[in-house]
Amino acid sequence: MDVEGVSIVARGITATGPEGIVFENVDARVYPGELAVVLGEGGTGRTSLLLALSGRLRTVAGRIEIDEAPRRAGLVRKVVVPARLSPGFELDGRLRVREAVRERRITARVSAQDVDRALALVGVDVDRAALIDELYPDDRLLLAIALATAGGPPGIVVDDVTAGLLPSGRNRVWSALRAVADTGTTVLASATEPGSEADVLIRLPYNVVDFGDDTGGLPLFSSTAGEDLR
Amino acid sequence: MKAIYLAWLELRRFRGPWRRFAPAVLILVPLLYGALFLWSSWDPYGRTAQVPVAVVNSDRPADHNGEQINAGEQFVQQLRTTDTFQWHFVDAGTARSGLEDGRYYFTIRVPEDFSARLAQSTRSSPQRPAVLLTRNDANGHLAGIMADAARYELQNQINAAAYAAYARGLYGDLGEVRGKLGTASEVSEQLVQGTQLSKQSTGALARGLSGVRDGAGRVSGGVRDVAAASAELDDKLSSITDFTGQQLPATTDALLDASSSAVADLNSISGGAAAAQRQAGGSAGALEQLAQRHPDLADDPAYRSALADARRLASTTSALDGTARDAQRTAAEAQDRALALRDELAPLQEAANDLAEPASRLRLASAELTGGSGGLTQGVNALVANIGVAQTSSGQLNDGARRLADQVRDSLDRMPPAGPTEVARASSELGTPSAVRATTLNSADVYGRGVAPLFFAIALWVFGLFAYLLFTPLNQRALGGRTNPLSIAVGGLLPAAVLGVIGGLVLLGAMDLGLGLDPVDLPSAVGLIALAAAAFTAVNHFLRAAFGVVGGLVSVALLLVQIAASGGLYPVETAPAPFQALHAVLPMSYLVDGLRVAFTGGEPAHLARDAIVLGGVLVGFLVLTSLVVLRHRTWTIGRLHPQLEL
Repeated sequence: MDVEGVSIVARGITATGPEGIVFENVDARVYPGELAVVLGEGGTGRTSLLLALSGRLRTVAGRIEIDEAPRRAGLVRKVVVPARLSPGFELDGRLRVREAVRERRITARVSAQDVDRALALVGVDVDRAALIDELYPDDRLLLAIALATAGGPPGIVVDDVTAGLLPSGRNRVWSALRAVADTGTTVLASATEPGSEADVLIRLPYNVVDFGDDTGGLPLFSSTAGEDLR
Repeated sequence: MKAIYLAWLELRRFRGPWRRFAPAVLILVPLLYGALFLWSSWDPYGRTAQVPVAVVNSDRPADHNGEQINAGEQFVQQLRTTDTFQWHFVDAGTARSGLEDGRYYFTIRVPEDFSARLAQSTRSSPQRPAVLLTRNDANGHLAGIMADAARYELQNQINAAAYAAYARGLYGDLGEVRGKLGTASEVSEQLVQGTQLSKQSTGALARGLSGVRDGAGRVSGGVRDVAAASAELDDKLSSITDFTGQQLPATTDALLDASSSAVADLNSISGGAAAAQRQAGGSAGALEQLAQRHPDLADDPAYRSALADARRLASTTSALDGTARDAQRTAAEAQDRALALRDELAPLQEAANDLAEPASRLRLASAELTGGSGGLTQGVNALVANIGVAQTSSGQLNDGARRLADQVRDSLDRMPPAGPTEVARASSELGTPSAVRATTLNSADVYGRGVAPLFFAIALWVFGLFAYLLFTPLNQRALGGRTNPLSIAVGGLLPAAVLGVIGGLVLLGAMDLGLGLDPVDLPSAVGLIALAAAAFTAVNHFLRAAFGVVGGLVSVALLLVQIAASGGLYPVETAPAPFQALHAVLPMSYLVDGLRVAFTGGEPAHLARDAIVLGGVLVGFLVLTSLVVLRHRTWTIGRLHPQLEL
């Protein structure tokens, strides 16, 4: 697998909702082919941050650079594909596996071989006639990851990796994500606890990255309490 | 293709023992909504016979011209024959309590003075009889409106009852008048005949009197002649009396003298004659003797002439002698008669004297008779003149009687007949003296058929509303992927729209087969319902896709506004101005309008316009939904954590 991953840099991004600030002044840096994990308790804006980093949520402050430059959100959405965002992008539990595959092939214009390869890559082998709801939670998540990975996108987004999974399942998923990242695809994940395979951790509610002098960009916000987690 | 596959996938979500029926149930939503409502109120005005209504008759019969008027009872009888409502004929208390506790929807009370007022209606100051209708809106206002609709029907029945009573009074009188006119007609005919006779007899009388007048004239002439004759007679008798008294005796005496002298004379004549005869005889004998002696003389002419003369003289004197003796005898007889006459003259004189006196009387009487007959003639003349006048008058009398008879007959002919059938017909015609004949173009016939377009529209809208409780407006995975927005919008619309079209057609079929909707233009109805189902679903699709749960609320609000503004029940002109303004811009107005044309008929141009508008709504909202897809590719926190969730 040789996918050219995407690099994502966020500087002091802030998102607000009807009830006020969702996350504020968050920094992030993800290099191509890295597995980045957004860590935080429920309600700290993990999904929102994933959406924002994948071009799916408008931020009110800060800047996001994709492959070292600000890009149009539409373009970002094309290169960073969601595997699961909850809520908003989840496999429909009442479809059969083959229907979900077909749906993915329709909406993402990927071939059956792409899907098969992706399934093999993440190490999931499910009955195509089974209902998604009938799958084990880890199989279900792995299927979603495989469908997102099919066709080799530069980046994927996986929300709530650990939710509802037993430790064995979690390890399976982390391994799978590691495998995906190893093909070159940048993986943005979120979890309530850090996986052993993570390359980068982005902690919520506050994540500060010391960009140093090598960024070439203009720091929009002064980095106060720097903590390099790398 | 993508859209169709997305739609198919959306439908594939409904699996499992119960969920698989969800789309089928969704199809029945329009049917449930539209059919149940329309079924329940398909023909409420045709089933008013089931509505219990109390009728109270408090009327007291009234007298009119000796005839009893019982209009209240008549009205009640009339109601019994109709099944406009379910009549309960009860007393006032029952009616009141029944109305109050909802057993009756309204009550009809005939007041005590109903007949009395009617009885007065033929008099100088008529009073309108009234029937009291009491409603209780606690039993439902529309029941009251039904009562209002029935009011005109009741009015007709009351009018008919009232008129029947009224006509009995009036026509009863008229019948009497008619009878009298009939008699008058007969009498006037008799009068005409009588005056005709009188005219003829006065004519005859006049002619007779003319004869009398002529006769009287002749009598008068005769009388005058009689008078003249009697006067003459009197005169003559006087002269006769004079003659017999004086001249006759003198004459008789003279006659007697003359006859005596005649007798004496005649005696002497007779003696002379006898002497002459003898001499003549002797002369004749002497001559003959001569001839015998001298025979020669016998032939001598002179001798012969002398002999002939002598012989003639002898015979003449012989005859004279005879005559003288006869005359002597006659004179003697005359003398005898003159003597007898003288003897008879005295009685004659007496008789002549006796005759003179009656003749005088006769003369006097005939004079009087003349005078009388003159008077008689004058009288008869006057009578004739008067009879002329009488004749003229009786002619005029006859003409007058004839005219009178004509007029009476004419009046009789013009009098309406007043038999029971005529009264009945007149009361039905005149009880409602005028009628409104209504013609309806594109008649809906029954209430349900008339309001069906509105309920179809509501049903289709409600379907759209329900559909997206079940269906996902937009495929989130497609939204997160690269599928083009229009495909996603169509893919989200199609499953619901297809079911909506099916549901609408199921509703149409059920209405047609079950209730007899019988659209006049079935293809248009099918097409319009399909189009509207798609369009309404598209609107709801957009609302749900754009605003989520709030969109559902907006849809409900729109539904209510459209029901109010579509003009599906009452004419939109009766609605307040805001509704009239909204009427033209809300899609339901066009569906209601178009379905009216398709169901019960109307202007095809409307149908075309409505189809274009609904098609525009469909396309327009699809485009709007596509724009929503574009916008939704970027999440918002509001959408991530909705403030409202079902």
